[in-house]
Amino acid sequence: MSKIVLKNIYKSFGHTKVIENINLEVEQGEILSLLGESGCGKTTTLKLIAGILSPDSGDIYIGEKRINDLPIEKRKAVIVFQDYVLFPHLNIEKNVGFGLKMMGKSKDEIKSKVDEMLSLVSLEGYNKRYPHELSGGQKQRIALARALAIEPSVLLLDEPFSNLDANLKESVRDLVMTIQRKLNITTIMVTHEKEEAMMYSDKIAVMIDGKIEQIGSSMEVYNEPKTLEVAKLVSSYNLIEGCSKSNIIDLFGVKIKSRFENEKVSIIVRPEAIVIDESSSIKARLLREKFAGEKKYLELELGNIKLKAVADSSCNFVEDQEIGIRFLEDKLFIYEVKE
Amino acid sequence: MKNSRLKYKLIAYSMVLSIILPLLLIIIWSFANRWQWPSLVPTDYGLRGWSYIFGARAKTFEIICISMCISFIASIITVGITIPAAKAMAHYNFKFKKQIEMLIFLPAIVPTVVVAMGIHIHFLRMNLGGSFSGLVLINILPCIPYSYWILKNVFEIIGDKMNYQARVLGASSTQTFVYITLPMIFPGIITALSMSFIVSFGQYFINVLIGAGKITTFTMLMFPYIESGDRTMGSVYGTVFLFASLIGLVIVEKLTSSMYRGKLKEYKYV
Repeated sequence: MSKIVLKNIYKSFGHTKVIENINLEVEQGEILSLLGESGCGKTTTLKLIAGILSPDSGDIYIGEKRINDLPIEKRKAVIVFQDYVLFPHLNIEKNVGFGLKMMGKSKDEIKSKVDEMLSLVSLEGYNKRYPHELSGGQKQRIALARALAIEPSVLLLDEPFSNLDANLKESVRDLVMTIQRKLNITTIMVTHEKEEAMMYSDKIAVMIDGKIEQIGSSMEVYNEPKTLEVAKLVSSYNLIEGCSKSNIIDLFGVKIKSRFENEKVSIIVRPEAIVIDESSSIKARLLREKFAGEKKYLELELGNIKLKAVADSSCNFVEDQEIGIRFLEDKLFIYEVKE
Repeated sequence: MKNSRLKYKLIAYSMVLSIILPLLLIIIWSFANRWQWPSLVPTDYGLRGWSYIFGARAKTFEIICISMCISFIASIITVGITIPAAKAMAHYNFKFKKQIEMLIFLPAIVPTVVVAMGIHIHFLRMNLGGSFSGLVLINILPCIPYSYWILKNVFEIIGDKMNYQARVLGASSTQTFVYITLPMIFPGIITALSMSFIVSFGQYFINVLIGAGKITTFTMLMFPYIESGDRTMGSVYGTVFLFASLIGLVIVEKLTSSMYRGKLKEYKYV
């Protein structure tokens, strides 16, 4: 069983704190996404688990075993890097079989495992090719096959799909995730794309400035973001500053209940929380509309605040038109403004 | 368009000529008995120089062999000790890194004469003066900056991600070095070896000093003739020197690549 546990991990480079008190548990067979902006310490976390970096303090467990002092090669925690890092002087067969050769496996064993892995990533017959002869998507699949060939206890994916173009991304992503499920291998994926994180993971850990702000299922993180920063990271949003007086916030004339008594508040209004309703008394002016196929992105102006909204593409608007809108109260997120 | 191509060709040819012409002159001079101004070509040809240096008294072959041996061994040791240094400098961060790098470059900055004079006393105390091993040791000195610089650049280009990827896949640090690092820096090794060989083979003063008259290297044979103005003899030695270093280079290249490919023949370079 290969559960990953991180306990009170700290890591600094010089005087910069990169990781601050990270606690994490990933159950056997689960995919956890580390979601955050670049520079927030996601990749550092992966490197700590793989052993490329060692933590200043804290414990890392794989299964029941504390692996802090285990050398990289004994951890069986394989990273697949963003840029694939295939060995350019070795052909595909040798690349995929590299880990097995290092373990001292016999030639026949290596050969059959390599063939098995290549068929798993649907690249049969590529044995004798060299990395420079492959396309980006193929390289990514080979990198995955190479990682899986050693039957690792943990798979670590570092922005694995960010170098692929949109069409390819989807198919490679589906393939990788299907394989992950099939092999039931504990996986941590680092990503900065909210959709990718939400679609493909069992749990999301939202990282901000070296700390984990919230861990939960995609639904939890999306529907109940604990802090303003998390809310900003998991969806597109409109940010409105307001004031809570006796637990009531006045949002353009609409009275909204708030858990803060008398406080300055930030309100996150997601585009989908704004509904077009001609009968509504709140009228916003349409600045611009962007047609995107099945939906339209609207840019509205209310008072002197600009709002992003989405509408069905069947709606017909003209620019500068006054549109009646309504806020979905249960989809507004209210946070205290920190001084 | 045509004009610019002509200009380009002219520049290219004149550059090549400026390298070739002096070499050509040396070769012609080596066969000349008399070549005085204003004659465009020598007025009298002969084999005086050639018959002298390949005559029994000159021991030319023996001396070339010793010189080559010294340079080969010195180059191999140089590359051997600069690989770890270059890797450390390219991939790790530590205190006094800049200062240590300065130290490595010191042989290229401080005139070798000064360094060799200082070392000479210690060599004499350690009984290395006038010995083969002493000469090899002193020849390593001027080669280090060149070999280090070439290898450091190679390590910087490759980066350490490959190594980490190999380690993560289960390779020990030794296995990583043998199967990943070495094959990837191999072109750099050949260049560093060749460069070191050339630098070492051309050393004069340190050889005179440390060799102490007991061991003669090829440059020591050449110098008196060039100094005394016997152009024919100087040119003969110059020509031999040129071809000897060329042969040395070819040997370095062939030996290393055949040795390496033999050991790891399944690996191919991209």
